[in-house]
Amino acid sequence: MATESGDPERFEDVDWDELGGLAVPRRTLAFVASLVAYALLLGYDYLLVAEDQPTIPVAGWNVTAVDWLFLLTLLAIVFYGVVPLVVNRRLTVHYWHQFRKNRAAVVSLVYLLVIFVVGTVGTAFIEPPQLDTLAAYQPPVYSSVPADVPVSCAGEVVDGRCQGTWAHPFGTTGQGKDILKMVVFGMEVSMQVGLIATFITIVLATAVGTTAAYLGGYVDEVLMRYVDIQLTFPTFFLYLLLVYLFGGSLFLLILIFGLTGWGAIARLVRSEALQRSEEEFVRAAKGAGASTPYVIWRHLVPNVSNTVITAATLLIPSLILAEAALSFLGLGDPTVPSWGRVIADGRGDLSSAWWISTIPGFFLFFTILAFNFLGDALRDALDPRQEGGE
Amino acid sequence: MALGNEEQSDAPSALLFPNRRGLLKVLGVGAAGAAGLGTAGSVGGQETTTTGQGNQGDRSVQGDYVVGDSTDAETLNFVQIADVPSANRVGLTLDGAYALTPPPNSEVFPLWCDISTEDSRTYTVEIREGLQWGGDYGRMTADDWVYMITEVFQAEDNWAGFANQSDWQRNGEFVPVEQTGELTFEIRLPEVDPAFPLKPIMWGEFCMPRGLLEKYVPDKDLEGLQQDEEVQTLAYSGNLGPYSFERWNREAEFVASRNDDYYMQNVENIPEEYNQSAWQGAPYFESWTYQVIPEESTRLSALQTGEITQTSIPENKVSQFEDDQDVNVNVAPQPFNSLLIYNQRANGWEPFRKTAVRKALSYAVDKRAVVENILRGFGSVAHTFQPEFSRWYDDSQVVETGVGDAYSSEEARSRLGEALGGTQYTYDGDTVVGPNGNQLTLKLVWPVGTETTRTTVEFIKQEYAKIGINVELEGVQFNTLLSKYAQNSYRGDGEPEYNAGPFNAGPRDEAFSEESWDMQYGIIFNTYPRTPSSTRSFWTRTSSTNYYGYVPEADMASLYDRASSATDEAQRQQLYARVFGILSEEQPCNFMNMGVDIDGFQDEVQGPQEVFDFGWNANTWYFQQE
Amino acid sequence: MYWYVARRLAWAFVATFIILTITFLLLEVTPDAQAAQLQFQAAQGGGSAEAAREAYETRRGLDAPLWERYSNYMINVFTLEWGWSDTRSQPVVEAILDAYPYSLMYGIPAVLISTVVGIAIGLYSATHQYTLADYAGTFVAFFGISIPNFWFGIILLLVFAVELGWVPVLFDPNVPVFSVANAKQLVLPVFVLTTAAIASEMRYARAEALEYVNAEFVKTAKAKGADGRRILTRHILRPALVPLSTILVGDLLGLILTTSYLVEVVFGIPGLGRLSLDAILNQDTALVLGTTFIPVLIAVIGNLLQDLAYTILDPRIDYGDR
Repeated sequence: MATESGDPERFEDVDWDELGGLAVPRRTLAFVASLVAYALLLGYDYLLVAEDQPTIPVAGWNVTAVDWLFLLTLLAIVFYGVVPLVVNRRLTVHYWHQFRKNRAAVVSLVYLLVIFVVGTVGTAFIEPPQLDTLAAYQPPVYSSVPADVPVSCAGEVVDGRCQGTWAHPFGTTGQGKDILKMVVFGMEVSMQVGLIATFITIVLATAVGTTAAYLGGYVDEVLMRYVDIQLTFPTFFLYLLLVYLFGGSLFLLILIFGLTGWGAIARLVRSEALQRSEEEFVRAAKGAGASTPYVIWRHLVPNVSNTVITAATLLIPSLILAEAALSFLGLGDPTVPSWGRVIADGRGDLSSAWWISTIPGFFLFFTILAFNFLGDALRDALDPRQEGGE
Repeated sequence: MALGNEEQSDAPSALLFPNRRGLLKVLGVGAAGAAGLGTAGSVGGQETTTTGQGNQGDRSVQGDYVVGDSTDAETLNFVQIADVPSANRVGLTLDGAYALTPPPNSEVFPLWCDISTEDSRTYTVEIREGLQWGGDYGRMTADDWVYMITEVFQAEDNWAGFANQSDWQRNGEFVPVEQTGELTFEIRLPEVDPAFPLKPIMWGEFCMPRGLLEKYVPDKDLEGLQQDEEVQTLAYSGNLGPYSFERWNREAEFVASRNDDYYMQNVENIPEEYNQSAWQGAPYFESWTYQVIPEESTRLSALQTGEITQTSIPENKVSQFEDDQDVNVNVAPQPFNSLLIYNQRANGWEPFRKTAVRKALSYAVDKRAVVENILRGFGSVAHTFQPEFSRWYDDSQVVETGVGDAYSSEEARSRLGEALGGTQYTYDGDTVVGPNGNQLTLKLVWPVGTETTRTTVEFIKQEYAKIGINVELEGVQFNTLLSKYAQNSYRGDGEPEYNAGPFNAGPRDEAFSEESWDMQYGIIFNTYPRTPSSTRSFWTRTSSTNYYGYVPEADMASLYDRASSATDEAQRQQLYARVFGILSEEQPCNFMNMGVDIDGFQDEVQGPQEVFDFGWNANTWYFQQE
Repeated sequence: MYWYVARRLAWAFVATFIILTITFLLLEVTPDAQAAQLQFQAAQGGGSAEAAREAYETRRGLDAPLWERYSNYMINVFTLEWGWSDTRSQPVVEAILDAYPYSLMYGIPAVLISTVVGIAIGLYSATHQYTLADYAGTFVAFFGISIPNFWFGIILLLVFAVELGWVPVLFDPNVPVFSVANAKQLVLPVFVLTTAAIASEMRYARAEALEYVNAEFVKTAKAKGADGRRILTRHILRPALVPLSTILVGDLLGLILTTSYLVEVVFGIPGLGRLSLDAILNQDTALVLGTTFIPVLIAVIGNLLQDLAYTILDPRIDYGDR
């Protein structure tokens, strides 16, 4: 922001209006601009492009509802996650130092980044797994299985046992789909479920929690009572019921997860925000004439963000697990190659074709483990109150 | 839930007992669990001797028979039974009117009753002497039967929820049933029907004592009947069945123990070939248990470790049991046809109405690959709506498609190209395009729940892609399939030309389902090899199950009429063979394959064989002595 | 304080009421599965599917107007007449009574073990931070919450029951409750359930205890010469118990309820989880409503107890809600 030539001597001499510039920070501007572009593209896809035509004819990619949501989530992450980190270098470095102490968390972070990249970008370049009845039940490379388990063996048959090949390094499912590909596409699905649903949850939880805390009184009472009810309803049972009623499509699943799971975090946010709203700076802002949304958005939310982020990072794995559980019970989306689906399909074959359930199971396990390590380390790094004995 | 998301284990148990009364009916439509007619692929099977089941000397009463089931029964009130597991359990304690011996020459095997006729119109049912109800309901007499049929089955408003009321009606009127003696009654059909005993109407029918029904009939007290303790514990079964109810732990097990008073012990004049002494000493197990194990892998593990005696085995697990000395795998033919249904109603793809188009499409799908690769050889290719073992099947009349020379993508493409002339669709290079220039996309709806169905529909999608048609797969719950895609309603003005029920609510241009669809796969139809007249409900324009809007070019209705009223066997055979020949020519649906039952039995079990309906004499099975 | 308790109780009632209403409405919205099936069967036989549907609706009492059905339902709930389960042919109450002992059989040991062991490990970790034991404990905890329970259960079953034969494959419901055979068949389900729950307990216990480990009063105790155990039990445990108790009931029960569905399906235990799952899948309305009531009741009472415990244990907390 430029100041007048001839710097004013005292604070009162500064003519704020003359200094120009927008009252809105650049980041918000950029975000809004990208949102507008997003809305335009969305409108184009839904209103102008025909039902069965690909949205981007060149790439042959028909953008689905879930993809749109994912894009939105990624935009939000970039603008409200990545950009602040980049801008506030010093704080980021401090966090990183705290975080780095936990080696397991660092490894987890790397692992998750790899999964994220492969899942989002990689799937665009690999062909989706194809049904191939002849290639069913191929064992992974360097292992073998009795020759009558697969329909026909892609590798050699030695001593009545079909050998694995590098064509299918992790083996194939009962439908002949390559497990490595299923794992990669499953990464995409898990990322989508985890991130989008958590995004929705964060938005709702923060909004409700901070508003309830700041406004208090009647608003607080009603909101918290509603949260109480939502929390009292056995969540998994609610998922079951809703998924059964409305079908197991991925889009609906994500919506249900997002819209029903924010209660606990809202409560957390509220108790944090309660403390913050008693602080001086909030009183000062109020006194300076700031409106309620302004105070909430500029003062409360940033200060509860640490709690929210840790809670969110710990929410993601439970959502991924919930989706796997629903697939296991047969209620998930049958057209989507999620890890839960592959495990569920392979569970009848555990004794003969162990790799179908086990390998994706391991990926699922490690992903969730990684998120948990990450969340734990984040809490230690971001939440100074939790520091103990250092 | 009985139908639909069924796993295979329910289907085979259904065929085990003489009381297949509602079962074939019930299994008339279901989601494909097993598929394929297997005369091949007998893995570790036993010799197929139709009669030699050993002398009674080999048999002794020992052991407990445990069947691994995937779902539990819903109710023991047979009036309302609509699912296989419930029927199985009731069948343990009640034999039913009579059984039918397996085809090709099915005949009546009297259990409680014998049925006979002079003129194929009036049927006399004669009840055995010495049949005692449990509790204090006395002897079974014709009075019990007539009361039940007229007051419960034929109740005007069907207060009892009897699902097969239509069985007891002809031309909209109730069939007159009258008692003619203490142990006899007559069923007086309005028209000649020689196949009546073979239909699941009196075949395997259960009965309840009048004294019990009387408590609820006058007030039409449905709930009372449902919740009556004697009904739910089968306390009235007396000496009427091989086992007596012992306990039912819901979702866990149903146990029945040997009935020492079983009436069969005193029965004489059983024909030589059915081994009278075997029946007289029946049953040969101390108890019979249905154990509910929903998880398939657990069920199979239990079979391996010997904890259960019998369960069904999915196709891809059979090889596991091949080398197992303790388990016999029994592969028996089944009358169910898995078919790819084409929607010829207004909300489907219009060119399906042309026979040439349908026939061309039958060239596109490799049926053999489905049976060999997906079903692992357990099943057999079908070209029409009857199994090959049926006596109504004449292979000189059946046109083959989808196999050998009759399977080829190029052939399919060229035939389809020709057939599409005159429609709005045509080939643009390699793809079929519609009027707006975009590639044709057909919606294939299938019921979720079975692995093989899922694999098959994806295979079909691939095959259609080869001839330039894009297929969109939509998996739904079985009930949704029935209610939103099968059921249709009349959308025209005024009264429909005809209304054959919610599955055929009118002519195909005006009546269609809530959701649009082009193809369906995963529902299996019963081909009724004993009573082919029952297949009429699928293949005439105004028949009740014709929800896909098929209008035959040939005059199917009159063929069926003539066939069912023909009294000369040979003539009937010819007429039905003609019917199925026409079906193979017109290809209203793509008849893909016929099902098999694959069951695993512990080695000691003697009795199961690899024939259709091998369970009819399960009462004579026994454990081989060590 | 009594006013506070009374208010919480009243709220518990209201919450239950609202939830039951929502469940009822949700089920009203669903298309009826069995009706479709029966109609198809009737049509197949050439008969009147309409009649079958009407008969079915009469049978299920579905032809009464909405308000009547709703009020009947609500009245019945509170008088414990939960109706007749059509898919099991027994009164709903009986179905629940049949099923809950099995759930308790594996639930109670799991809760007890995970609570005791979890808190113990957590406290130990907190007081012995950064030692090998701490890392090991943390690792076990992470393992527990990350592993997909259903998958874990299947693998354990495969290894211990099929391959090794140490435990039976099938769950035998007739075995007497307090017997060795019963213990054997419950080992695996309890183990799976415990691994999940222990992890949560452990982490919370550790986190809470950490808050106090470096507190002034602990340092004072140490300075006065108290040994580790005394500090732990008399100085750390008490304040840590306050927030811990709030988590104990609610989250633990939530976890158990969720995992119970999966554990029961995998191991074939005829408990409440399977009961409610089957009820939903089979559209057995009466049973769905009955089995909703149980976890809701547990959750509501759990929350209530939690709140009360919190206020009783921590004298600093004001009884007001804010």
